[in-house]
Amino acid sequence: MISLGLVWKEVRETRWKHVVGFLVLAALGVLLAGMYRYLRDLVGDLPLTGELARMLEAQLANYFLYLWANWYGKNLYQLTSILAIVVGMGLVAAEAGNGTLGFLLTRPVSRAAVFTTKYLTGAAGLALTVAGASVVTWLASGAFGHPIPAGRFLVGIIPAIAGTLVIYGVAVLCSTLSGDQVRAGAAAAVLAALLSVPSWFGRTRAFSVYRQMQALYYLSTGTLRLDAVAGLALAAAALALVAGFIFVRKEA
Amino acid sequence: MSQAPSPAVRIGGLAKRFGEVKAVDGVDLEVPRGCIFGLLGPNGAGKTTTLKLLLGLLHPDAGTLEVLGKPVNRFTLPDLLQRVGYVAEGRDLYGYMRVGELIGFNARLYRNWDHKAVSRYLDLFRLPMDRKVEDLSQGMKSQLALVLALGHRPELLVLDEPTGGLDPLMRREFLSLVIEEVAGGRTAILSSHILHEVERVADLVAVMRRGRILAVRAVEAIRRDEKRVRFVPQHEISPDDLRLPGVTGVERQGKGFVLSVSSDLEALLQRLAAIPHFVLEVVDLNLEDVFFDYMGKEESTP
Repeated sequence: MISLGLVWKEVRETRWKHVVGFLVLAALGVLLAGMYRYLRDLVGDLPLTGELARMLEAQLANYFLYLWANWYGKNLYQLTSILAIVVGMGLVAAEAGNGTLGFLLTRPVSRAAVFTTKYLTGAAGLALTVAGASVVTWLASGAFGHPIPAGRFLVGIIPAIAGTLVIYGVAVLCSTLSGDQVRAGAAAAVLAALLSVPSWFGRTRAFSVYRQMQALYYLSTGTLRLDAVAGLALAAAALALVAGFIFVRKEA
Repeated sequence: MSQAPSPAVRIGGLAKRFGEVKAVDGVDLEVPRGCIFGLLGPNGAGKTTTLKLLLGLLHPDAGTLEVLGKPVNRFTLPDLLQRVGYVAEGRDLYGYMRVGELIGFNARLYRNWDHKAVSRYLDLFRLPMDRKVEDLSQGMKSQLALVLALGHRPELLVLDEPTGGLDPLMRREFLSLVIEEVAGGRTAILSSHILHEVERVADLVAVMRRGRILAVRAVEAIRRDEKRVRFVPQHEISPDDLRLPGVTGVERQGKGFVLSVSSDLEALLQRLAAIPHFVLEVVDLNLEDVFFDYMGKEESTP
């Protein structure tokens, strides 16, 4: 179902998005690790009182808590969501927009293989970006004198990737439906923003993609919620299937 | 021209709508193997839509499509496309790739990519391997599109307005290569507005208008049979008297008539000679004249 001949083209077309995404995330991870001591000293020196002071002190009292809250709990999911939209919105719509879809679809590759190759190349790039930047963050922690057991920190990659693929799936679906990648990106951004609505309410919080990407349950209990990861993976797979179904029937 | 068991293309009752517009309206067509088949028609006639349906880029609303003896559907397409080369109207190539990269990309997708032949075509057209596709002239892009369409030695070549943007010299080189390939046993379908170019290379032509095929004729038969006869009788006669076998149209011009003739010329001339006349002369027609005749007839059809 994958065309190896197409993989090269897809990697060539999306590589800079992934490279820039990785560099930004990796720089952020290094910054987070390097800033810890400075922030802890700064907060200690500031005349803070009340709830804010308690929160900051609690987070900065423990490096692991600080790093998780700022990496998986904030920066990673926000930036990879944007990256997922940027990668996904051009997957089909860019080819439709610049007229190369007709060329591609008259090559001797089934449409299912074209879509699967495109989808999986983008998904693999996103997964590598998330995993690679998280590994850099973990390495930077050790380098700045805050070693963490690899498994304890890097397990957060799993829900982060699963959630990223849900947002990617939304963007790919919009890209398949639209012939214009800017419109596809705008539609995906609106839908991705709507996906944050469940996290606003206590009863629906468990159904929030972003909430589950942060794996805060793991942070508080030390147990990864596999049901949540499976839920994210299923949602991502369902979105990919719907987009693939539409692509196979698309006219060019 | 040798007739193979199944035609290169067989289309039956093909129909395709875009909203209220009937882009293709009940097309029946057979393209024999080993020929260059010209598809003629004005803009919006349905030529590109027909070709896109043939290649599976569009899905028909009704009708049957067979290419190289196989029905066209999403299960047969990947194998069929190994045997078909396509040059699209817009030459929509990946502009960011270099010529060599685009050729390498194509080569990886085809089972029978012929590197030797591709090198020969590249030399013939003097295409620079290291130049980005977006930096090529329109003519060079057309030549590259033809090289890509021929690289896997296709049995059927589908060319949709392939020479648009080419200067006369480039056009000649381009069409010479198509003729050479067809002489090697392939079939080509050539959709074009440039009628004299089609006349020069095509064996058969189909004229399309408003999504329908108006006529399919052999170019040789057009050259041989399609004539105009200018006839000025000595006495007044009715145009109906001139609607004889082989006459497809009668037009009054002053005191005389111009008859469009598509067969039985000798018999017609004998009958006309028997009528007292001042002028009886035969004018040869080319494809362009015949095309405009068809367009004119269709225009007057309610």
